[in-house]
Amino acid sequence: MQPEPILRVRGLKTEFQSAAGVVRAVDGLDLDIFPGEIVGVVGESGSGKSAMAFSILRLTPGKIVAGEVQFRGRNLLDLSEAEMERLRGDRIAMIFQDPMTSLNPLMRIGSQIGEALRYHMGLSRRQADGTAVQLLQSVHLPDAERRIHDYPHQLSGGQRQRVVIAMGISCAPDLLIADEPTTALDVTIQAQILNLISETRQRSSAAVLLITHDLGVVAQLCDRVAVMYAGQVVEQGPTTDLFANPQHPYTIGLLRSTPHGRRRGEPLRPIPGQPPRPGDIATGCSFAPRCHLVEERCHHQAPALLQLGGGRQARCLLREESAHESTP
Amino acid sequence: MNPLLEVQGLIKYYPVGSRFSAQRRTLRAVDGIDLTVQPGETLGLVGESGCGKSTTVRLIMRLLEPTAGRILFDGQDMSSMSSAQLKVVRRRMQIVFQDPFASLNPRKTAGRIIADPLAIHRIGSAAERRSRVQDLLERVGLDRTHAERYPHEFSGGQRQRISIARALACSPQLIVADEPVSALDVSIQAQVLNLLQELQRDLALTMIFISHDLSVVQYVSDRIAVMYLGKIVELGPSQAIYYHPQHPYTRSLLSAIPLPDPTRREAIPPLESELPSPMNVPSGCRFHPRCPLATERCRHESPELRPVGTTLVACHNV
Repeated sequence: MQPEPILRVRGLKTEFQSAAGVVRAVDGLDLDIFPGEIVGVVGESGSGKSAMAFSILRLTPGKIVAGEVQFRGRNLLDLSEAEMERLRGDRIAMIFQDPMTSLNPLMRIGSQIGEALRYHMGLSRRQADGTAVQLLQSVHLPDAERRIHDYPHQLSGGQRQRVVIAMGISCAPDLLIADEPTTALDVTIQAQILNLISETRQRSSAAVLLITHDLGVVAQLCDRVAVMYAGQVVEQGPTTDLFANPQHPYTIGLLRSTPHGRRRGEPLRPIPGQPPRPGDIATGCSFAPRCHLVEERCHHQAPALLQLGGGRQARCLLREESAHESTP
Repeated sequence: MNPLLEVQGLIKYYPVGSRFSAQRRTLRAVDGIDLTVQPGETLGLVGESGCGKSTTVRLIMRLLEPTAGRILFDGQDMSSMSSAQLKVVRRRMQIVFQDPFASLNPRKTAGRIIADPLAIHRIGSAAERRSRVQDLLERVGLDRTHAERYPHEFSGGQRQRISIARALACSPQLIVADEPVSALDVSIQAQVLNLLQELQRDLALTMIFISHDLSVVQYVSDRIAVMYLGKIVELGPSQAIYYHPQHPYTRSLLSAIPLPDPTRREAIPPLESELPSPMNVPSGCRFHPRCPLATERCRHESPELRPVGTTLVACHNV
């Protein structure tokens, strides 16, 4: 039997006001995350993956205009701001791309980690300091007892991201949202941090929503993948199946674009054209202008997210024949 | 064949700390590099942030003054050149920077940006420059009409095409590309990599390609130099380095790249600890504090590059 998802997003739409009018960054997003799994959300800049994460936490500067975000059976969009505050950093934690923006430069590391512990768990300052040291040790920051007295600028980028992860897991959240957590880091440090995220999941059984542009990170770390394009999930499935047999032309294009393992002189097959600018309104399929399999109907008819069996979904008219049923 | 570029014993040190302090320290950004680049080849330069790869190419371009060492371009020693002579040589070498948002003047049109090098070097009449700009725009996959537009009207990939067109304007022999695709999305990255390869083939360009991403570097390069803390630790044919790395650092760097293939989840333990500061370079082999193979000898004796198979490796233990 399928367990209940810990997070269930349905039809989420988030809009931003811009000089050019209303921009819909998230455009009818469906996503499930089950307890203890790592789900990767991949997409290029402007695909709406960060806007989605901020919408789930209700931290988006834009406006959520439709949809629901069920977290452990409650619709987060119905909660009061006070209820949301109790949830953030406690049941749902977030790790951002640039650790410097999520750390207060004027506060010592120990106090920053302790803040959530004192707020959510009611620990005293001394208890919080002790727990902060343990947390820093669990993310393998050397010299933790001394480090809690340091300020963020005294740490390297990798060390800062360890501190941010320690803050993220401090209250043993059910869901950890990590937005490009390793993008600002060198590859050898990235490998250390990815190992740490995977270790954290095993130890705490938290589900992880990992947002990234890097297909390699997804392939190495995630149980399931959702591919986003123009504010929608265009394909979703278990990582191994999706990489072995991608169904959506955009996913196929992305996988073909990577230079990994290709020899010199062998031309890459990039996806032609540019991703749609936010605010471009597409009739029909938003990927149609760049699609190598495009048909006439793709320009007029918007595809639904089709169930393909084996936990796989794709938003493409050409997959209708292989679909079992339409979206629930 | 004579090399187009020869670098001998290149060193760049920066003094750090107060001018009046008795303990002025030295940041060793580039610490003794020898390189040759043959005409028509692409040399890849890889390493993590702080390894000195960008400083190296800025020294080669003479955007920075070296502390020591010689740079020979087409057999001529650039360090002894007058500024007039330097200007002539600079026409023949051009650079493409990483960030296409920072490297284009937002107040100039794409046409002006591309024509600037021609104007600086007084090449052609105004009309000739205009037609050259249009040719260049088409050459890099943009449209002639784009000459009238400003940088903010272009996407990241298109801006990088403009940077490439500007670099090509004076018909250089050597292009230095410093992380030219790192700021771009995957699908756009592939477009720009294809363009660079096409241009290199058609215009017989020599290229130095810098990246922190070994899988990109192996794809574009004939040879690869791997840098660590200001020194080259391994140098050789691209395929040999990518498929059979010898130096323990190259191996760690390669195994740290997350492969886009979930069937190959490799449980190679990542490198311990972090890059030491270039102000405090470890004794002996500078990689020894992080090296799984380090022995007593590595603590004291700095290894020189020596041939191992088809590559040059600076390691006592391979």
